[in-house]
Amino acid sequence: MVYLALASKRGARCRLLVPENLGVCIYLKVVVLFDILKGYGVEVDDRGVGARDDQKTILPITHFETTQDATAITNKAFARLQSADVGAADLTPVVSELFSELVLNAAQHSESDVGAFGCVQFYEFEGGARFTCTVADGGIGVFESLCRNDKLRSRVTYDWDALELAVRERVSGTGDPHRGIGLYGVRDDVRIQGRSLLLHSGLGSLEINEDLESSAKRTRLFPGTLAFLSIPA
Amino acid sequence: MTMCTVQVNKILKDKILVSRESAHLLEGAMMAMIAAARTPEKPSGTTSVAVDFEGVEGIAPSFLDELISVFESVLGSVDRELDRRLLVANPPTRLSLKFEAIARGHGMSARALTDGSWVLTNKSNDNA
Repeated sequence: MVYLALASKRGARCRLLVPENLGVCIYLKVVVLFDILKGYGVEVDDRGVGARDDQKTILPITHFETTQDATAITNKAFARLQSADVGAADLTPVVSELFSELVLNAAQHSESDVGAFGCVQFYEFEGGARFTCTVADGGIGVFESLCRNDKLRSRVTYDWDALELAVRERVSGTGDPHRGIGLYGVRDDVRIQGRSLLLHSGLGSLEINEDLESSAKRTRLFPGTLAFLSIPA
Repeated sequence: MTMCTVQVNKILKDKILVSRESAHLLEGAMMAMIAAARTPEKPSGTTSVAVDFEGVEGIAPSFLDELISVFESVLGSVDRELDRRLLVANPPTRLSLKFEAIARGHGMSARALTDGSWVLTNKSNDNA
């Protein structure tokens, strides 16, 4: 989606090849992917699937740009989590707080031409129900963001080691000694059983689980930064 | 000790407090309460501000960080030599490592009280 939005924004003619599987097509409609891409001028044949509501989709893919937007979609997600009445009730603020950190990071640091997108879902997987929070942008990426801070430039060489550094306490591209708590805080909150955080930026990815075991590696290019948080419900 | 309380939900209507900008909206209330509490009849000592989060369901680290900055700024404009104590009443979440880290960044220590409140103090006033 971010690829298409960026390419379309830069003047390329884009068309989304919608999967033949009707279930997948309906899912993509429910999370509002088609509508968002159409908004960027991407050609989408949604096969006439009408608008639908789905309890599992707490917050469909939502575009945001500013910190005010970040506050608004966080509180929208919170209100919907409350009204959806799914999962443990005490997780509603936890999911909202963690989501807020991810959207705030994107709003403040991504410098994305297409803004950023956030989504919160509730899923009943085979291994149990989970909340998932996804935030993606088409911006400069974590590596470039950290390199804005002269003190960090020599400490990062690749996208994947930039990700490892970014989740440590008080590491921020801003150089402000009070910044750099957001991702560190998310990492701390992932220590609870069954939670995980996946970060993907540029050619790097980093996955952190409850034991704080992290695996940073080179992977396929993502044109910005994506964060995916999974929390047992 | 001078003590005053700011009711967050009377000023900020969001359930989840996210941005630094929103923390600044508490500045006026903090300033007014401290000014009102500190009169010639009540000499300065440790100035303690209680920020009551009743009705708030979540706070992002950025919000708390900026709230402490506002607190420091307000007290700094009154008296730079004061011992400082920020009481976070009815916090919506546990005092986790990230919030302790934020306090450390401001030269303060944070601990949870038995009623669940958090108390943030500067180093010289650590045992207050």
